[in-house]
Amino acid sequence: MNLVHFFRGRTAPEDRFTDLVRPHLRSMYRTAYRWTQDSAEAEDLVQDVLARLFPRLEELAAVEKPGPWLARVLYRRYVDLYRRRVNSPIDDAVRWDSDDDFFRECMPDERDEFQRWELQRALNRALADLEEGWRDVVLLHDVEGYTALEVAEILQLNVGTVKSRLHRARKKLKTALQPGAIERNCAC
Amino acid sequence: MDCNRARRQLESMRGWGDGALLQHLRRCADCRDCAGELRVRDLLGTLPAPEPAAGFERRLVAAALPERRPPASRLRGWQFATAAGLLLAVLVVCFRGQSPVVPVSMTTPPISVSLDTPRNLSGATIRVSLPPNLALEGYGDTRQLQWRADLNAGANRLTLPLRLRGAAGEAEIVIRVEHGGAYREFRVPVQVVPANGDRRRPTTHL
Repeated sequence: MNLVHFFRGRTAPEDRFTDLVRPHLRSMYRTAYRWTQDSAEAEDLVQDVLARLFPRLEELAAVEKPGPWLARVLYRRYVDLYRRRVNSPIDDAVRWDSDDDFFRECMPDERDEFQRWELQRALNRALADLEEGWRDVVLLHDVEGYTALEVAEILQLNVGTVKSRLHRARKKLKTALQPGAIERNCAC
Repeated sequence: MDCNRARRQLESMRGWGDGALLQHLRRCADCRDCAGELRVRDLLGTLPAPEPAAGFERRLVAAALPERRPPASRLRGWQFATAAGLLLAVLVVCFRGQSPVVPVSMTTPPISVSLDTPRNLSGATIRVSLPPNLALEGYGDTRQLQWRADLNAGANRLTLPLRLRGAAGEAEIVIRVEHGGAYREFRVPVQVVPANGDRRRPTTHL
């Protein structure tokens, strides 16, 4: 190994960590937002995960597919910080609520676009009515685009369970998009 | 239109306005079901999310990383008092060969220095200082190089492609390794000789 190689091959851990996580930050943020339905909380969640990951730099560096691995770490932390509170008998302040404020902010003017926006808002609201296990699968697979295998890995489920939850969840969401259901659910 | 063709059109998200497809959907409950599910998937796949605030990547990483160590000038006061013994214990000087003097000539191949440590030293600062009559190939007349590196447990080979740039004679290369507030300095004596001089080239272990 010559000096130049030694020079370039060994960077500071902070820089290595940044290089490893940076390409995944937006995806982590988006996934965190899907779960928290709040952009500030999504940022906090990602930051918290990064702070916990830095000491595990070598483990992270050895991961073959960092994207799903980071999503799994994010999910576990989300469960720790949010879902346990939701399920706590003494703290019912946190529940999965559709981020309607965001939908209101980006309401389009065009009629076709408006119809799509209305359907998506209805869909986002309908996600709140899904069992959380089903919602997790839909958010990761249909919204964030992870494969069924990756979702299984992230949520520590078997692929069969992921597929059957997806199937049931889509069926329920489809019902929520029926014309009568939208009017009922989206009354402002 | 049969179900297979209808599904293909639906899957490719083309032909929603196709009369034949619509006619098929009107009379086929299974394909209507499939179309409904595809619509749900399409809407989910394009579900909007707010963009993170400007500079969020830099801000998030900076906030998540531990504070970087203060610059060396601020360390000076406690350098001597803190656990310098830590490095003293982990980096052992053991010259291989009869003489610690490394002959360097115009034609000398690079000399190797092995930094031995029994445990990982992540983010160690390494500084190499050269005497006036030596330079490193590819680094012009720079006489001092400093960088940060992770040293793995065991031997870490550092190759110095030395170049003669002054008079022959005795000289000394100083290598300083700093980690966690402690440091260790090693002096590698070299004998700069003419091109036809001694060609022995031991590896120096620190």
